[in-house]
Amino acid sequence: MPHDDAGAIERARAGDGRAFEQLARELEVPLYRHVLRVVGTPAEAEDVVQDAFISAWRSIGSFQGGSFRAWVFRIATNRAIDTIRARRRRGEVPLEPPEDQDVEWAEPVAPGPDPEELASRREDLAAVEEALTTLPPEQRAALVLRDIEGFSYEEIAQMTAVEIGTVKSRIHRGRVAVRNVLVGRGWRSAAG
Amino acid sequence: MKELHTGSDLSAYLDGELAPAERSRVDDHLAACGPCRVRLAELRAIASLVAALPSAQPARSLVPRVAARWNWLRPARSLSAFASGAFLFVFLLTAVGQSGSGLGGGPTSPFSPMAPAAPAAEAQRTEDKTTAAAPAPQFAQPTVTDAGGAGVRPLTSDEVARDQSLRTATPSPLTYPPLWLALAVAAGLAAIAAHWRLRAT
Repeated sequence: MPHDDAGAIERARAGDGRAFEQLARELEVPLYRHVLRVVGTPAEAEDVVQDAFISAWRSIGSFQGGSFRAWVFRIATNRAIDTIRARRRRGEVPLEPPEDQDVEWAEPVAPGPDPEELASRREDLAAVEEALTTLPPEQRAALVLRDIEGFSYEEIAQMTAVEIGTVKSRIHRGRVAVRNVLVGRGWRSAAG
Repeated sequence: MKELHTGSDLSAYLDGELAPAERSRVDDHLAACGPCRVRLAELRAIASLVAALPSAQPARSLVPRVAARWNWLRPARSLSAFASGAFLFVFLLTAVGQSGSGLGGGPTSPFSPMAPAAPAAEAQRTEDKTTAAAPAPQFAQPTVTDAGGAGVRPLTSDEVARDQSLRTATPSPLTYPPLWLALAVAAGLAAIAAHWRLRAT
């Protein structure tokens, strides 16, 4: 995980627009790929990221320190979730399942390749990508923030304004759901 | 331990997010539970696959232009575009104006009979006035009545000079149409250049 440029952050806080642009350029791609996975469409993801950057610049004075990257991701994730909520009110997105619902581990349907082989196969990455789209957005966001962007549970909890226990539950459920999709396609776990 | 077989502690264990006491408890359990070891391996594989997903790239730059050096470029673009339009308008005005007075010497122009007639008419009025003012001694008057019926009489040098300036169409620089067209094109190009620079990634 890249470390924040402390000098640029201080200059940005002091109102140096060029410093802020430099920081934003470093975050542009990670932010976009994360938001794209949450909201699903490139056009919406572009809007959310751009709005997040503008919002971050306008409120740069309220950045207290700590991880600038986590701070910007928080702004963007909030906006992405707001977008999802709006869609949910229109009935386009299903509700998140309750936390106390048991996690179901699907049984393998047929013998399949070992997981070590799968990581190098493009079609299985495509299957994982597709499986992610079936997750509730909150689970998907938590899983991507953890496994792709490398944030800690604590940071994710702050970003998404939930308890750490909820983050833990979302990440776990997300992984199991993806696993179940792969199992349904013939993926077989390694021998115990 | 049904809780651990399906619970979220396995993921937290994988992510190193468990407190030492909890971690130790899971270690002990894994040592004794084969299915949980399998589950852990699967979770690890899934996490690796998610981490290996290709990264999407945005189609355009999403970084806003907030630096001060860009702040003048936007109004400059608008000003150039507006100036280009204004210059174009003046160009059209001067071009039409030039086409009108520039045809003063032509026989088919609707304006041509007016040009020589106007100074003559004016001279005629002057002549009438001076005639009315001092009627008696004819030799004191500089005017000459026209002998023939052409209706044209010799003009004074001032009138000749004025007539020539209207006929020969030698414009002052400000009424030179190509000047305004050049300015319009230059301002337009400046606006386009500013627009490209603002749009550049």
